[in-house]
This record gives sequence, structure tokens and C-alpha cells, in this order.
Amino acid sequence: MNQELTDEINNVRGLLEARLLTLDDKRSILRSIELKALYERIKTLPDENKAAYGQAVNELRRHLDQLVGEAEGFAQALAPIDVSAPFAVNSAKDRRPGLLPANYGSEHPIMSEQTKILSIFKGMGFSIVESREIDDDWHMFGALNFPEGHPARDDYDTFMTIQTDPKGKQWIAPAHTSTMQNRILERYKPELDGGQPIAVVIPGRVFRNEDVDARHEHTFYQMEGVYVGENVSIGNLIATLKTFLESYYETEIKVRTQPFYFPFTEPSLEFSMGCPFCNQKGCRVCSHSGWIEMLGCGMIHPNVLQYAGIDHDKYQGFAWGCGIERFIMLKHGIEDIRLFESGRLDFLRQFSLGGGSQ
Amino acid sequence: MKISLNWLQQLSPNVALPLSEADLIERLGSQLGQVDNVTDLSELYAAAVIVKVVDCDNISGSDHLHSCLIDDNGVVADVEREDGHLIRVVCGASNVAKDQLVVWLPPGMVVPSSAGKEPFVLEARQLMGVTSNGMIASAKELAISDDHEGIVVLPADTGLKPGDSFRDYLELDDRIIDIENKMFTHRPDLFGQLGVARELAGIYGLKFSSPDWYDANRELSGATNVELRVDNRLLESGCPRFMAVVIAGLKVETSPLWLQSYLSRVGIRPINNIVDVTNYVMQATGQPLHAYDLDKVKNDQAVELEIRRANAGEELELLDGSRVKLLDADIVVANRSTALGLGGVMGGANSEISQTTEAIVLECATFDMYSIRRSAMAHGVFSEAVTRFTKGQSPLQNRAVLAYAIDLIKQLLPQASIVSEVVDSISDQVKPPAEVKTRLELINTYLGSPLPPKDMAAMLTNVEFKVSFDDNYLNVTPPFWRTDVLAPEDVIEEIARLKGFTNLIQQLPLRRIAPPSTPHLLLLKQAMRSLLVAGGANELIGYSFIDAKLMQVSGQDTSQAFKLGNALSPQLEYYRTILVPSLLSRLHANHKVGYDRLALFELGKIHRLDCLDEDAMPLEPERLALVVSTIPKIAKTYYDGPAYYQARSYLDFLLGGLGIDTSVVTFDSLAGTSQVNEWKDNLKLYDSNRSAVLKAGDQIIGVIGEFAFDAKRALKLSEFSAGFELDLEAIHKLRQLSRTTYRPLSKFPSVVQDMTVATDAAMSYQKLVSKLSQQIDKLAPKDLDFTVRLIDIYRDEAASSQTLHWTFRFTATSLEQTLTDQLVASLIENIKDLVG
Repeated sequence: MNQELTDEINNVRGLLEARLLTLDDKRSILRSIELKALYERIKTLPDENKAAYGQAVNELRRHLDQLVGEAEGFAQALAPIDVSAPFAVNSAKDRRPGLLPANYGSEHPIMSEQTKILSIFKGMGFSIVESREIDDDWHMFGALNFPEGHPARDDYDTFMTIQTDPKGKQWIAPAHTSTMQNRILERYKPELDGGQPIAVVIPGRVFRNEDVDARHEHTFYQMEGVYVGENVSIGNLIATLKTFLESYYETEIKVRTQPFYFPFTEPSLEFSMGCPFCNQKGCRVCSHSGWIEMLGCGMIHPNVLQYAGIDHDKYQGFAWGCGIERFIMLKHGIEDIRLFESGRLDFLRQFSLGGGSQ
Repeated sequence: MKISLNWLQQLSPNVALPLSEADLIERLGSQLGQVDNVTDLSELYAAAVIVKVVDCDNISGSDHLHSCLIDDNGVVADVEREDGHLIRVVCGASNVAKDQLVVWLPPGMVVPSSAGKEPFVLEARQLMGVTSNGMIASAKELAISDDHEGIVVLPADTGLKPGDSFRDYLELDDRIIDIENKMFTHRPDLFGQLGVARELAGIYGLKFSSPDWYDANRELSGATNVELRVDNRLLESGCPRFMAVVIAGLKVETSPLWLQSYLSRVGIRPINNIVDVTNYVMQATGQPLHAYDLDKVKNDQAVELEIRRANAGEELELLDGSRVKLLDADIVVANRSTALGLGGVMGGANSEISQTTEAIVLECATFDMYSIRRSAMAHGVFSEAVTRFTKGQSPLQNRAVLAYAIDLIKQLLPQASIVSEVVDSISDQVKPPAEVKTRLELINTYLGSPLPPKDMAAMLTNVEFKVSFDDNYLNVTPPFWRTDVLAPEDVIEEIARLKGFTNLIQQLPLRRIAPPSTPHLLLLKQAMRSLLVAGGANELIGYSFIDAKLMQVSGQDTSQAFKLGNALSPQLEYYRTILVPSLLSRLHANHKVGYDRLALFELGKIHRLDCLDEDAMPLEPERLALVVSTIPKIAKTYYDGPAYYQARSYLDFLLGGLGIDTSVVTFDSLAGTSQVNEWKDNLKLYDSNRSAVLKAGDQIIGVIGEFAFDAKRALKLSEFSAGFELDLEAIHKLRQLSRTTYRPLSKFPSVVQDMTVATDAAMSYQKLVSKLSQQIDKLAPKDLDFTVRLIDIYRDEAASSQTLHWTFRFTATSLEQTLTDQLVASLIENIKDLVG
């Protein structure tokens, strides 16, 4: 290989070594245009020079790679700082890294909506208990009147851990907030015995082992409601939910129910509301049907009361479970449920204090 | 579940169902189950006409097209006619011939098979120079079956004549209603058209009576030509009833059109007359049946069936062509040598009905629903039979159903006959439904207002319950097909549903006066959220599950994490043991799309295998995680010093905002701290020189720091990034202990003076401040209120000095007197001497 070609490579070497010192991302030197150009150059050379030139370029790349490695190695050992101090030595007062502008900040829309919904139920006299993210078979199924091996379990595609509980059963990522019902009933039973009805809402994260698409997430938020007292009627259930919806939407709401089946309620109902966005005239939100399916509910099954030690001849109760995302998606016209857990700031900052104005 | 309104009416011989009521669909929806779809066949088939082929010639130049002249008796208007009479149609079917009665779809009609997809509208068009008006239809085009071999040729002996309506001939003036069947999970009877017909009558307050053939005690007389022996080894557990009979004199052929049509309109593909009868009867009653080819199952001259659990290593090829390795728990129906079917799930290919079948063993059995579910799940085989059996079909209906199937076979094939005994292996445990006694008061409580017992009784007797009542109780005996009415609440459900849930009085329940409670951590989370949002941070929600790789690059130990056995993907396999990595994994992508400066936080739970309560239930410590990150170029423009201090700013802002006295928080080296317990997964995530464990006394409240090199490289983090994770319960405790930091305002002006002390480089802020506080406590008069704030730290870098110069701002206030500058200055001088 002639001197001219050797110089060509050496020139690039000098150039890149100098630049390396100035770079934040040291590794980007390996993608530099100059280095690429050397590789391109190989193709244009006469055959007798190709091999030697190629070797020299590879050698240069290895050399740079080593320098990058050394530079990163240096970065590995960050200089010690006083971690108890509020700011750095020699930092100018107006250049100390502090809080970002308030108009960047945003609550997650699920949390805002959950807070809003909780505050309505709290106003209606419901206490709040948060749900679990890992539970045992008994609370998820057994205490809810799903016998072992019952086909109704198939409607809940649950995630299970490889680890097992003391009874040898796999732990479950709860598929519904109803997993808390038995605990709530047991915890509040003394108050029920003292003549006070049980009224609790249970927000929480739930999990379904199903394929994810724009309408289905494997992780989502639900809110369970439980009410137990004396002389509780099916009409109490319907009125409670209707009252909540009217408070939430700040308008009169028509409701309708359909018979359904859940092992833990009898009767079980599916609950729909007249579309509040178009006054039931038909719009995109309600798929032009005038109705929007909101939640599942029913009168608590006597077995569920009994498992918590509550006399089901004396007391009755109702329960419901609804998805939180549904409320938000309807409200904002959000097209894809996967956005909620995407961690994308272009989504999250639309809910910022500045209303997305940054 | 698709229902045909015409079929319902056929199953209600004694009462006209209100099929044309305007509110029918709405009431089905509100009292039976969600209506997914309604298809009006009447419109679809309105134009189809039965015609006679008067003439049929091959078209020259085509190898298959025929030019036909058809006679519609002039019933169709607006169509081109030859000599004002006959109509020309081109037909490509090989079986078309002169004098046949066929089905003609005139121009303008939508081909029924294309309806609902891309509707194909017929017209008059030229084919090989001949005008074809509409078409002569095949069964496939009529959406009756998959048969596209040739056109439908109607039987000559039915009295049909040209011009008759095809719709009327097949009773296609029908509506098909598709009902979401999930609500029928406990209603096996509603998986048959008969059950829906009964329910519909009940909804409208009509008295329903089942057809005569639906009789649990129906006589079925056998014969002895063929010996049929059944050894039901699972009588006590697995197969409470097994009925079977041999029927001979059969001829397997295509079913008559009416049968095919009724099956296809409810979504079942017609196959042949024998299979179609079993499917038709299942659709009518909800009870699955199975037919075996006699020749393929008999040993020598006798049929010896056994019902048993599968043997080790046994295999079976199913009717759908799949081959399964049977499990011990599977129920099989077998003959002496071979498994013939997976009981209640699917029959075997080895005994399938074929064109040459002349005799069958017809089975009507009940298998344990749990066992069927297990087998179906284990082998991934789902069938109409599985759907129905897993709802718990009543074994008491088997005799009626078997007899009905035989009736139909004889109707199709008059020469068919029973040639064996009717075997009925039934367990003692099969008993008619027991009477349920329900307190009237309880019923009225649920309903919310009193309903006269005679009205309750009427509702239930309409759907064939036996009911009596006295002053206190309603006594209800369910009919034999209802396996779901066992408790008073089931009776109440029945009454409330038949009355209509939304017709009940709607009234809010009683509430208590005591204020409802809110979990303390929920309140804390709401407070933290508001503060951080005001501080410009974005709350995000990460999945509870992360992958091994993220755990590994962020220094966590997967052996301490709960692991899913059935994760959707490897990305979602482990429960999180700390939260910060979820946030880190989102930084790069957000920087890349232009968010240069950001702070993200999440409030969530962690889980660890070694973190259990006294009942061995996993504890779920709640955490706040926050990370800050700025791309290097922007960080250089805006900031002096490392990212650590930005995370620190958020920490001080947050704790201060929560009313926590930050002076109680100490910063210790992460690596040097013992008893890290559930914090140990943080050790490797943070850089050892730029991180700290946060403590209040002995209590660890969290960790803070910049991230270790491995995590930074693997997650493509900016050099300028840092974060912290706090335990909410610990913060809550700290918050409870914090006293107010309010200082009374003084009438007298405060004196503000700065003091600079020099120390060597090893001095830390918290050590220096602690010394300062001691001196202030010692020297300052008690009536003097001192606040001290660090305003600068300086080191002469140019001179490579090892001395730090700390400048503090003192604000001194007295409630009693006006302070002089000299007094304060001399005090500060004394403090400085002792500290420096």
C-alpha cells in the first residue's frame, strides 16, 4: 500500500481522536461519516490494494473502539460528591438543577379519574380500601363461590406465579377487584353486627391474561363496590349506581340492566346507561345505540356472605365492579387503551397542569 | 347463541309466542341476555321464487354453461321475458335439467350467502352472448349449506308449483337473534331453543307448556336383534347417566332442505342426515348426542361399550382430525379394544358416520362438567357439546331427548328402526330437583316492595315450576330440566328477572352518619401526586411485571421476585422488586422524541419473595419512585453540577411540602449501610459515589442517587440522570412525627448576616450543619430565633485547592427586642470560631 493511502487513514485517525475528546456520546465516533467513508473507499481501490487498506481501516476502528472503551471506563467511576449537600460545589445560584416548570407536570389520567370517582362515592358514604396485586386462590375464586375446577373460572384468564402459597396453590394476579370482597366483609362484620351497614369501594389494578389490542390491556384499573345491610333490595343497587353516574356526569342518566351471570352474585346484572354524550340520540361514543355498557353488578351471593360469617338470612348486599379506563376513554375519546401504560410523554403531558401548553 | 323465532314457535305448540311484539328485542335484552345482533331472514329471502326449468340447452362454445328458460308463473315483475312469458337464465351447474323445480333469484336480489359481507346484487347480464336474468341458486348461494356442487333441485312430490315463494316453503320469514350466552352459564336449558321459547313466554306472562315429546318418562321400546351391553364404570363419578340404542335401516344422505335450513340459520353446518339430526336435537334441547357407526364399534356380533377413564398411553384421533394423547382423568367411551370418543367433548374419527353407514349406536349421556372442562382445556378441544355440557345439563332429560332424536330419524327415514335394547345406565344420585322453600319476606326485601304471592306463583308456573304458598313461604319445585335452582336466592332471581329488574322500585339504601374512612397511604399518595405535579413532574404507570433483562441490568435479583408461570411474553415475567427501573426504561424513548428535560414518577407496589406477613401472604410495600433526566447538551446549557442535585431538589420539595422536617433525614453511603432488607435490590442500581440511603433515625425511608454504569449503558440513559425511591409507610410515619415549622412573627426586625467557614474537602454538609446547630444551641440566647441556610459552596479549582468555603445565611429574630448588627455579628463570629 502506498504512502498516499496510508496518509489518508492517518489523517482520519488524527481527526477522529481529536473529536473524541469533545463528544458527550463517545461511542458515536464509531458511526462517524469519516470512518464510513474509509470503508466505502475500499470498493473503489484497485484489487491489489484492497486487502491491505481494509486491514488498516479495521485496525483504526479497533483503535477507536478501545479509546471509547477507555473513555467510558473513566465515566464508570463518577467522581464522589457530597450526597448530603443540597447543591454542588461552585454551582452558580441560578444554574442549580431544580424543579421543572409547573406547566410540565401531569397526574396520570387514570389516577385523576379514580380520585374523582372515589370522592363521589366517599360523599355517598362509602369507605375506601385499596385492592391487592397478588392474591391467593381462595380470595380470587373460592370465597367468591367459584368451586374448584368450575367452568366459570374460564371467564377469568388469570396470570399465576410459579411460586405457591402455603396450601400449595399458585399465587394469582387478581383478575378483578372482587378479590377483596371476602376481606372487606370480614373486616367490617363487627360494624354490621353493631347495626351499621357495610359500604366500601375498592379501587385497584387488575390483570387479565389476554391478547392486547386497542381495546384490551392485560393490566387495567377497576373499582369494586360492596354494600351490605338489612332490607337491601335490587332497586337499592340500581339506584346507587344511577345516583353515582348522575353525579359523575352532572346530568340525568337513564339506566338499563340485563341479566348476567357471576358466581358471586345472584341475581347478576349487566348495567348500561343512556349515552350522556348525545342524550341517547346516537353518536360515535355509544356506537349509535344510545346505550353504553358500564359495569357488572348483582346481589351478593349468600355463599359469599356466609364465607365471611355473615348471616345471609338477616343481611343482604350488593356489589359491582367497573373499569376506570372506560370512563376516561369515553370522556376524552381516547382511541387506544394501551396508551395508558405506554409511559409516553406526548400522551401524559396532554393531561398536564398547563393543559398541554408547553 | 343464535335463536330462530320460528323454531321457538314450533317448540311452543300450545301458546302463540309474542314474536311480533314491537318491544320483543328490548325485552329479550333486558330480561334474558344481551342481544348482539338481529338478522331478518324474511327480507333476505323475500324475492326468491320457485320456478320450473322449461327448457335447458348447452351453450355452444362453453364446456359447462346452460341456457335455460324458466317459468315463474309470471309472479316476478320488471324482468325481461321471451314471448312475454318465460325467462332466460344461464346456469353453470352440471345437474340442471329440463322439468326440474329449482330456486330462482331474480335480478335486483342480493345473493343470500353474500349478505352481511359484501352484498352481491344480481342483475341481467350477458354470458357467452346470452342474457342471463338473475341466477338459479345452489344451497351455498342460499346460505343453507356448504354444498356448491350443483343447484338445489326441489323434490317433485311436495305439491310445489312455479311461482311459489321459496321463503314460505322453508319458513324463512324468520328472525335470527344472536344473544350473548355468557349470562347463560348457570342456565343449561337456555342453550336450547326450547328453553328460550319457554323463557320468552315467561317474560310476557304467558303460560308455557313443553311439547309432549319433552317428557322425562317417555316410553321407548327396544328390540333384541343386536346385543348392546354398556359397562358404565363411572356411574358414581363422571357419568351419572348413559343412554344408548342401536338403530338400523339407515341411509346416510343429505338432509332435507328444512333441516339444513334450520341448522344453518342458527350457525350449524349441515353434514348428513344422521349427524344433522343429532345437532338439530341438541339445538332444540341443549343436550348433546353422539352417533357411532355400528359396524365400526361392534366386536363380533355384539356392541360392548364401556365408560371409563383413559388408560396410560392411550391415543385417539378426534372427528376434527386432531390426534390427542389421552390423560388419566379423561373420560372415554370405548369398545372392548379401543377408545371411540372423548366423552362429552368430541367423538373419535374411528367410528365416524360415513356414506356407507347403515346402522348406528345413538348415545345420549351426561358427563361430569368439571371433567369435561378439564379435558377440553388440556387438549384444547372446544365443541358445541363442551359448551353445553359445562353448563350442567340435566341428566333427567336424556330419555326425552333420545326419543325425540329417534322420532326425527324415523321421520326422515321411515324404514329405520330400533334393533337393540334401550340401555339406560343411571346413577342413584340423579334425583329430581328438590323443593325450595323461600320466605315471602325475603323475596319482598329483594324486590323492594311487596308482590302478592299469587303473582309470584303465576310467574313461576308460567315457566313450568310447581308452586304452592302459605302465609310465610313460597314453596317451589323446579322442573326436571332446571339444575340451577337450589336456594331461595335462585328463586328470587327467577321472580325478579321475570318481573324485570328495572321495573323494581329504585331507592337509595340507608347510609351511616359516621364519616367513611380513607386509607392513610391513599391520602399520602394524593398529596405526593399534587406536589410532584406542581413541581413539573409527570406521573406514569408502569406494568407490575417486568423482564429478567431489565432486572439484571438494573442490578436486581430475579431469585427474590415472584415469577409468572403463564406470562404473555418474556417482557412481563417478574413482579417488580423496585420501581425505579420501570421509569428508567421510559427515558430514552421520550428523550428521542424531543422531551429534553423531564421528571417522571410512579406510585406503586413492590413484591418480594422474602417479604411476607405472618400468614405468609405477600406484603405489598408501597413506593414512590422518581427519576429526572436531561439530555447532555441541554444539561450543559442549564445546569451546574451533577443530576444528583436535581433529584435532591425534588426530594427536598416533596418532603417539605408534606410538612416533614428535612433536617431529620440523614444521607448515608448505600453500600455501607447494614440491614438494607427489602432495599438490597437498590445497591447495584446506583453509583456508589453518588448515592445515599435515606434514614430517619434507624428507619430507612428510601434511596437516592445517580445510576450505575451498567444500567446507564444498557438503558441508554443520559449522563445527567438521577432518581430516588421512597417507602410510603416510612414517609407516613415521619409525617406523623413532624411538628409544625411555623415561627411566630416578631414586632422587631430580623438581622440577616452571611458567614463563610472554610473546611477541608472531606467535610460533608450534614456534618457541618450538625456542628453548627450544636454551637447555635450552646451560644445563642434562648429568646433568639436563628435560621441558617447554606447559600454557596466554593472551592478554588484553578489553584487545585482542597479547601471548601461554605457560606451560610443567618437570620436572627428576637420576639423581645430590636437586635443590633454587632450583637449578631459577634455571635456568628463565636460560632464560626468553634465550627471552623
